[in-house]
Amino acid sequence: MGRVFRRGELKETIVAVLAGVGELHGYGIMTELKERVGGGWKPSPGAIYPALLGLEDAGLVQAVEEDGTRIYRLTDAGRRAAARSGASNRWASLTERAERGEERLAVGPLLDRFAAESPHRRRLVGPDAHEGIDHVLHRASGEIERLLTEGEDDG
Amino acid sequence: MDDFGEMALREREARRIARRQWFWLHFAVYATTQVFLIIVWALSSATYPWYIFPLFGWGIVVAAHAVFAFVVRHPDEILIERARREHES
Repeated sequence: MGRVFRRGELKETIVAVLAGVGELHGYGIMTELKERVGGGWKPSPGAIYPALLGLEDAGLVQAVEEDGTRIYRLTDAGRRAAARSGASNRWASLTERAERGEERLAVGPLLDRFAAESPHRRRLVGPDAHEGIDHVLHRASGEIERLLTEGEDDG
Repeated sequence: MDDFGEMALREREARRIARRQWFWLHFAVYATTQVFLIIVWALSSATYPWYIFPLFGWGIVVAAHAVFAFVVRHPDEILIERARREHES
C-alpha cells in the first residue's frame, strides 16, 4: 500500500479530528481517522501514538490520564492551529490516495506471479508497467460498466 | 503510557525485529557468496586474489545495512521509548 500521509499531514489531521470531536483517547483517534480516510487504509498505533506525543511536545494537544487511559484534547494553541490549517477539506485527497494504494495492492499479486517466471520478466515490472496496467483496468472497468448498464436496459 | 501506547510500542518492536531479520538474510547471502568465490579462486590455480573486490565492495554495503538494522533508530521509536521511561519513573 502506498503512503497516504505526507510529512506533517498525520499531525494536522489528528488536530482536525480533535477539533471536531472535542476529546478522545488514542484508540478512538485511530478509529476516527480510519473512518474519515476510508479506502481500506489501516492506521497503525506505531505511527499515531508518536504523532500524539509530538503534538503534546509542541503544545497543541494536552493529555489527561483518566482510569489508566490518556484522553487527548486541543490546547488553545491547538485550536488556533486547527482553524488555520483547513485540514478538513483534505479528507477527499487522502481518501483518493488510500484508494489508489488499494488498487495497486490488488494488481500486486498478479505482477508477482508474472515476475516469478524469469529474471527477464522481473525487469519488465516497473513503474511504467503500473501505469499501463492502470490504463488497461480503467478501460476494462468502462466496458464492465457498459455491460452492466446494458443488462439494466433489458430488465 | 496507556494501552494504546503499549500497542504502539509492540508495533515498533515488531518492525525492529523485522529489520534485523532482513539484515541477517542479507548477511547469509553475502557470506555464502564469498565462500563460494574463495573456493573458485582457490581451485583456479590461486593466482591474483581477485575475490577481495567483492569481499570488500559488498562488505561495505553489508556493514551499512548492519548500522541501519542495529544502530539507527526511527524518531518515532525514540519518542515512544522516552514516553515509556517517563511513565515508569
